[in-house]
Amino acid sequence: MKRRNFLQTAAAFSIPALLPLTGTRASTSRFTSLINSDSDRILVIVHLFGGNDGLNTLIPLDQYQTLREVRKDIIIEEGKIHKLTDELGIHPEMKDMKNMFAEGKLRPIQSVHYPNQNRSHFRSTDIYTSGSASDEFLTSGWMGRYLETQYAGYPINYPSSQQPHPPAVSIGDVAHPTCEGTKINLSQTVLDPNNTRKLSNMLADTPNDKYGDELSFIRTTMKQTNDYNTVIKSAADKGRNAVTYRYRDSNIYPQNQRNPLAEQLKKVARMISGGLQTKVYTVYMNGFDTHAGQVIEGNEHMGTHAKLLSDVSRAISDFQNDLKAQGLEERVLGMTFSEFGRRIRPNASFGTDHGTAGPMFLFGSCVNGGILGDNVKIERDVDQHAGVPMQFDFRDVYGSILVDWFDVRSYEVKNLLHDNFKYLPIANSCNEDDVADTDKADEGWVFGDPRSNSSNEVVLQVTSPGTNLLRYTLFDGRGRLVLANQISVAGTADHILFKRPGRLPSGTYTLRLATETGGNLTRKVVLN
Amino acid sequence: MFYNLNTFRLSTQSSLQSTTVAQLSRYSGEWTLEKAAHLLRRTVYGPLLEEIQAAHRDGLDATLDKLLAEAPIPSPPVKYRNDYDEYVKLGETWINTPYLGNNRYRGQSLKGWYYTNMMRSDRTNIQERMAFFWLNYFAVHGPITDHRAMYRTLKLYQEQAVGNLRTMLQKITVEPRMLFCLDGHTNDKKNPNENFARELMELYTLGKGPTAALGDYTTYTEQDVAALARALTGWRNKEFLYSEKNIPVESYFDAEAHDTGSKQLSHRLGNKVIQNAGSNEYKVVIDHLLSYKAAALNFCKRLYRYFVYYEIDDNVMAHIIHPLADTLIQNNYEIKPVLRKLFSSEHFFQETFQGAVIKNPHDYICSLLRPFREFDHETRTLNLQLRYELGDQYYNYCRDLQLEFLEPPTISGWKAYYDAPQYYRHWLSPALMQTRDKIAISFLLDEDFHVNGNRIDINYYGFMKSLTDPYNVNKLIEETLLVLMPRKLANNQVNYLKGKLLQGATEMEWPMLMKAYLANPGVKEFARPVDDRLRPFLHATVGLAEFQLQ
Repeated sequence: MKRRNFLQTAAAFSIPALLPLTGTRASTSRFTSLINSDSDRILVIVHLFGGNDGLNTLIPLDQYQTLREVRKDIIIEEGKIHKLTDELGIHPEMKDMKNMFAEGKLRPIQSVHYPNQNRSHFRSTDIYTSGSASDEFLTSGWMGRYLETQYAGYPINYPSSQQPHPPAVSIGDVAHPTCEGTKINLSQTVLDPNNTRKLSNMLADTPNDKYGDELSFIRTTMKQTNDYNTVIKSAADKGRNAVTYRYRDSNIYPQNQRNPLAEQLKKVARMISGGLQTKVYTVYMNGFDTHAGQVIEGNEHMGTHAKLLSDVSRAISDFQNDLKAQGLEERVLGMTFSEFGRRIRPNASFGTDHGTAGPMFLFGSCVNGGILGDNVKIERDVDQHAGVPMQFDFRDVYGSILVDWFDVRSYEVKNLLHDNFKYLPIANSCNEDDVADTDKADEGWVFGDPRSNSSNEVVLQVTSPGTNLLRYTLFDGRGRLVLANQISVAGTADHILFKRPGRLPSGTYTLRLATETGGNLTRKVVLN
Repeated sequence: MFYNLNTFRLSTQSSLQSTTVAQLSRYSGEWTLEKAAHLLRRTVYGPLLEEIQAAHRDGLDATLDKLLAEAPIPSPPVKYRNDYDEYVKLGETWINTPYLGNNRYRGQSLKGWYYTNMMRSDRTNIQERMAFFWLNYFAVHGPITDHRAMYRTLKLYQEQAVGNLRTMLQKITVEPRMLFCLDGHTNDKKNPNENFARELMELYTLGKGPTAALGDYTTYTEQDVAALARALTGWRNKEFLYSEKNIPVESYFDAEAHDTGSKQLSHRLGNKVIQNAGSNEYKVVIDHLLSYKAAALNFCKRLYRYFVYYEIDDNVMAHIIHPLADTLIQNNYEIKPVLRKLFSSEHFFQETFQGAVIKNPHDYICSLLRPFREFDHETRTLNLQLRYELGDQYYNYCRDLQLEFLEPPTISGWKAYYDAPQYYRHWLSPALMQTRDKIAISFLLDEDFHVNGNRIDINYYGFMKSLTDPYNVNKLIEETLLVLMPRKLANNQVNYLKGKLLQGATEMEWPMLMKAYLANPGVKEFARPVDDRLRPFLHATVGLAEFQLQ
């Protein structure tokens, strides 16, 4: 099923749901609509802190014999591993996520990392959250930079009547560094959305000195806390959970323990369900730094890592089911990341030390099915210190999420992340069809070149096979959508599309045309 | 009234501010109550009114004598309940007792002890604040371990509060917890471990300069890391960890594990060759590192960020940090002269810095409670056990506010003191603001505050009694705000607080209410009308944004 991005109707003029338009498809294979600020899509970032052991999460079955030799102390018995494919298995405790994979709702990406590894948790976390190169120090987060393009000037004058909801929400005490902006973190930290606290709104003039700087920061935080808490609480009160989030698996945990990740995702689902227009949520789970006791000797499918993955798998699956039951599935994309994978060879304590690449998971009903990337190749004589080599740059995963999920154009992704951005198809299965081969109208259609007449009207000759709707959109030189409409066309005729509105300066614009039958093309037009 | 939040600024953008930096020359302005309060707020946790008044009366020099005096070390934590440590008597310390029997409450005892020290109101001294400076400076972390070892390190920080940097570096290098934390205890001639050597240079002495070439950080190089790692080989911990045997919490030098070869340093460190000096070699290493001014500069920057402000620009570097580093070197790394110079400078008392520090969770809790002498008057309730449990409660609050003193987040310490550009702002987020507000107003200041089932209430009566003129509402407010706020509040805020205090009563009625209140301590019918007004007044006061600052 295909789904179009929801558009706010409060826009200055009505933008009809657009048919596919592919004109500027840069390096990606799909149309970027540039109407992203009106999108109702949500990204949920799951941070698995500590460095998840990828080889004990996604297990390359085609390498199993070699793997068994180099990971003798910790490898899980082959028969216990769930198969995603004949070549790739997933940890025995991740049955729920295996089922999600079978339903096409899980997209594993193998061996993600950055070039020039740094095995420090903190430096690696900085790199992963800022989206920097390993020798580059950025104080902002990759998502923060993107959100700042959508919430210009944040935090000044936010919340606003057009954007009344927080750009991002971090569940917990600490605003996630992913959402750090150039001035302030763009995420609202939320412990319990149903139970918020009103802070003092007593203000006074702020002195223009260092004290005033800090005071103004605190007042901004307090005011936004109150303002955003109003919408957060109202959404959480209105929202609901349609499924029960299971406790931890009592086969491997004591009875009646809540699953901490599930508790967080449950709150996220409630806010989404209640209509919070926040674009990004972050949740956090600690404990993946499994230097010792990662597995239990003799029962390698059990141990610390098994417990962690069980929590992850159950929580993500419950969350997905909740969204599905509420008809919200197609609005939400999830992504897990961990700051590094672990070494190929275990240490002497039934654990693994800091390594290099590891898998990421994307989840949701809009992910592209299947596995991205090849299995890790294991050499018998692999060095004790070796980590898994990188196949995908993490910034390409981030960037592709921006492209697929938030309709960001490739050149913008390059500005936000890195110049060598390479698009990876990961989450575009709900996007508009990619069928049209650009600038090729369907059979029976003929388009002339648009021109401006002396009355500043744009005229276009169209030949249509029968009576049809033609939709057009106009973009300015900076790629902003400035006008959209549709007309009825039949046979061959000149059509006046629009008269240049006073708000638009004269100059060259891009006109995109889309037909009801799926054809589309782009034309330059000079407005007098 | 509408206040535009457009004034939101980052300090790095506060270009409107004057670029001239007041010098380290002696403060020559008027010695006011406000200046005295500023000094105390930065050097003790939550100054009392009488401390501010005394500092004002005694003058800057006498106050610094008192603040920087070497204070006695607090007596160690004790066993505070009878159901554990059966080999220790109630009220006696466990710090030298092996792990025989059930030792469950030692951790709580340590926590309770730590916060009780911080909160005590019987002395005006920098010890606890400097002890936390060291705690953050070395940021010894890693799995929470043997409580005796943790106590040992905390005690070292107290002992060296205003001690000597060289002595401190020597002691910490072979301190058992540090050996565990940065793998010194496994550093062996056959397999040198670089963890400590690296941090010793990067964080504790020279600081990492700009990368000049691969592995060359200007102040030192990778070659030096490897060489110093070898020089520091051989230190081991005795097998004391949770031991049931009587093994002291100590490290020792194992000559067999020590690399006796000569260690060639890079040109950044003068091409020096460190010759074998056995168990004294670490002192040679520290002496050599301290012979570079970079070490003193790095240390003084850390002091500055902790005590004055986070931003260190070229001006501050040239006119404040450099002269402070010179003072440190001239005084053979004694810290006291440096602190004295800083705290008596024009720079420190510059208006712009007054209140420009966001309180860390310790500051926050102490500045709320210590001015009231906390709950000291609840002598009937706060027996030994509850006293410790109250301290443990503070520990939990601070942990919820992201400061867990036994477990610094990384070897760099808390982000507030090193991570640009947010620095102190790391202590606050929307959730943390709400948690702060809740802890202050719904717990600590609530009339129904309990510690382990026993209700205790803050000492309003004592506080009122300590005021110069509690009969005058305006004076009462002014003096309370002097204690609680970093600067004078605006008129509209004072009026708002006055409304909270009077609650419909008139200014004329106040003296009568107060007279009856002070004359009848503990008598409900006279206490209620005043307490019920003080409470909302105080809630509103600590709820203001300004209360987050010092």
